[in-house]
Amino acid sequence: MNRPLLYLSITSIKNGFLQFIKKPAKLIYAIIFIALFGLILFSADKGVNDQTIFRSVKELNAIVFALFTLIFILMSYNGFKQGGTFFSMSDVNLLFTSSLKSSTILNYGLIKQIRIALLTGIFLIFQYAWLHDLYNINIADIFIICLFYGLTVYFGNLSALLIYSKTSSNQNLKSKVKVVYFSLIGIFLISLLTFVIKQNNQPLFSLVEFVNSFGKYFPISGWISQIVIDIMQKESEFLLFIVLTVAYFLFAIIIFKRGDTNYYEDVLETTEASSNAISSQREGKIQETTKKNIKVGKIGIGKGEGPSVFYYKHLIENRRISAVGLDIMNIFLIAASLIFTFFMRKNEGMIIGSFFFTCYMEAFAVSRGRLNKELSKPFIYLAPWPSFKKLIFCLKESFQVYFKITLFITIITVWLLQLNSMVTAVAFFLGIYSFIFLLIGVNLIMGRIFGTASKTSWLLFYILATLILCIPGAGLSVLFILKNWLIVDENTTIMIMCALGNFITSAITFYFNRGVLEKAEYNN
Amino acid sequence: MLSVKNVTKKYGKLVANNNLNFDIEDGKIGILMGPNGAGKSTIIKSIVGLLRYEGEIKINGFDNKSIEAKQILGYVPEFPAMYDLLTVGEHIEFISRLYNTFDKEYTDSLLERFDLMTKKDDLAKSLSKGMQQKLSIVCALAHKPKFVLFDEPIVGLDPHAIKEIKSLFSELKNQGATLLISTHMIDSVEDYWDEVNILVKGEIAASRTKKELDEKNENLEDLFFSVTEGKNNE
Repeated sequence: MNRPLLYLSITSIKNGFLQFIKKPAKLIYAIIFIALFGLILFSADKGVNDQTIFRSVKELNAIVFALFTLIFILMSYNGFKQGGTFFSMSDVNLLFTSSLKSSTILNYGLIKQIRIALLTGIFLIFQYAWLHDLYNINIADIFIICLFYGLTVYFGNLSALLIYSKTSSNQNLKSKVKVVYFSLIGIFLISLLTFVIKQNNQPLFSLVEFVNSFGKYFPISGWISQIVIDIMQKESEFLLFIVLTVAYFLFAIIIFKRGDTNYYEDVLETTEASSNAISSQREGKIQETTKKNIKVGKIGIGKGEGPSVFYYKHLIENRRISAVGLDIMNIFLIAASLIFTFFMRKNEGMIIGSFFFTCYMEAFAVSRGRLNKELSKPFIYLAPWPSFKKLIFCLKESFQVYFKITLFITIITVWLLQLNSMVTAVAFFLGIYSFIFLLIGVNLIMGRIFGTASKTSWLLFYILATLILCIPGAGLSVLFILKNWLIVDENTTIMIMCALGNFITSAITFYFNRGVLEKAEYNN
Repeated sequence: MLSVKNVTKKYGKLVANNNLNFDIEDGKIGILMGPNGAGKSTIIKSIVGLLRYEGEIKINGFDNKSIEAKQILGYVPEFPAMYDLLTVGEHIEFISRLYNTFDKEYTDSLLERFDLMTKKDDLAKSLSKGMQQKLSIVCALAHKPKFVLFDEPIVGLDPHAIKEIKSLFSELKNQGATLLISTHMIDSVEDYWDEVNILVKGEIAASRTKKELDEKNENLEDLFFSVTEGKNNE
């Protein structure tokens, strides 16, 4: 690598490391992260014994393929819109304008992006516990999945950049590439559907079978997922797919470099977009995750006077955010919870697993909810109304949306698990819905302490505050189980006690944070 | 209209504002000046009620965080923070409903002045940064506030909008509103200001009225550089 770029790379890595020493919060954060992973390792081993019957590894292969292919399609499709990027805005402003060769800068970007992409899969290590319990994977396996997930992200980005650079200025070519792109996906989906229909029964079994037999033929993500599967199962076939993947990489780079070497424009839009997203995050702003072209529909808020206008504004925002009126995080919450329940449905007492998994997923959705979005703008602080009144109207939409989401998840879960007890179903609903209140309470506490500033320690305190607020519900559950005061069964008792504890804790939290809008700091 | 008494704001060990004291009389335009990092935005945010601080801030005799103070307050932040999924027109409707002040003719005239009328049905997300800044100004003025705080209002605006906002300053003043403007751009306020406070390292390094400056035959620019470059130890 060129000397200045080598200096830049080494200095960036060195300074990143020094941050751990200079900012103890980052070090504590890393320690907590490792501790949490340790806890997951410990809890995973608790759930497995000599009698454990594991599910077919073919299901795991299908999950890996589905995850990798989804992320690859989502990322590579950007090539038809705004392209991809391997650069930051500082690269654009300082390197692109320098006398360095554009090909040298591209090489630097390609290497730098590998480091970043490999870290994107880190969240997957927290899925170790249930994957270990169900499919008997080991620690090395989960790290392989994380690593190759990052590689899939990298290839998705590379493909987006390639598509954009070759088609952005040629509408005719873009249409042709789009046809090829969607044909590949279409052929795969039609083949899958035909296979499933032909099998006539057990659609899930057929789907898993199809992916195991033909998934590896799907370009890039299919190859990468097959490498993971083969390594985990100690098959030697993965060498073939490594060759294919490396060949694609070389092909992409050669094609990219052979064309117009002025690729700066191709990466600019995505670099600016990702830079804006990073600075918004630093400033504590939460960006709306929407598609590029939003259908505005009927214009006008139409209702609400005083603080109630926040509620009606939220309804309009929901209508525009997606076709189903839900933020991407809420769609993910529903999908992840139900997929988890679906795959685990045959396990005994699975209702409690679904319950905890849904609660876990809720934490991500609520932290990106309307309350936090509202707190990242000045209007709610400036409006001349009592703080608590503004807060209630600001939360009204969340209470309604999460009521519907929880009800939907409950109905499908009851159906999937073939639950017979109405009390258990109600307990499941109340337990999950109460956790929404608890998480909103956590967000109020976080707003009061940290304001809108995003700090390294924010997530750490968010997790700690959540765990502390969970104590009453968890304590009640333990007490009722130990005393054998069961309502229907142990699982139902846990969910009811969690609901009771969460509602009480939330009510207290809401009460003590009713003036949060006067106490919180708007730091943007 | 505005009274700032013994206001101190700290971020950990950093003292962003140190024991600030100043007033702005009714119907006057006050200017806050100072180099980068002097604490101008911090005191503006404290006055608006967005930050916690030690000391006392009164607006029209009311505590700055009271409902009475908020009713007469307008704020143009340094960085516009609009709602991505609302149109320009819906932002105005939102503010009108929030403050229970409906004056379509007035809000339309504001949109017209800042070239936003043709973009009334466009989402804020689709606006450029400069246009978002204009929308932010219109939103701050839509409920006819009596006390308006501008934090670097000129930055990012095109010449036409700068012209409009300058004439808006004098119009608001003539209508009896009180203004506090934080700015780097001395020439943008030179014709309109009444009182100036220059902040250096979180403290007020100099305070003048326009009359005092005129009597000494000084101008704002000279005063600013003499204070910030250490030629005047006042």
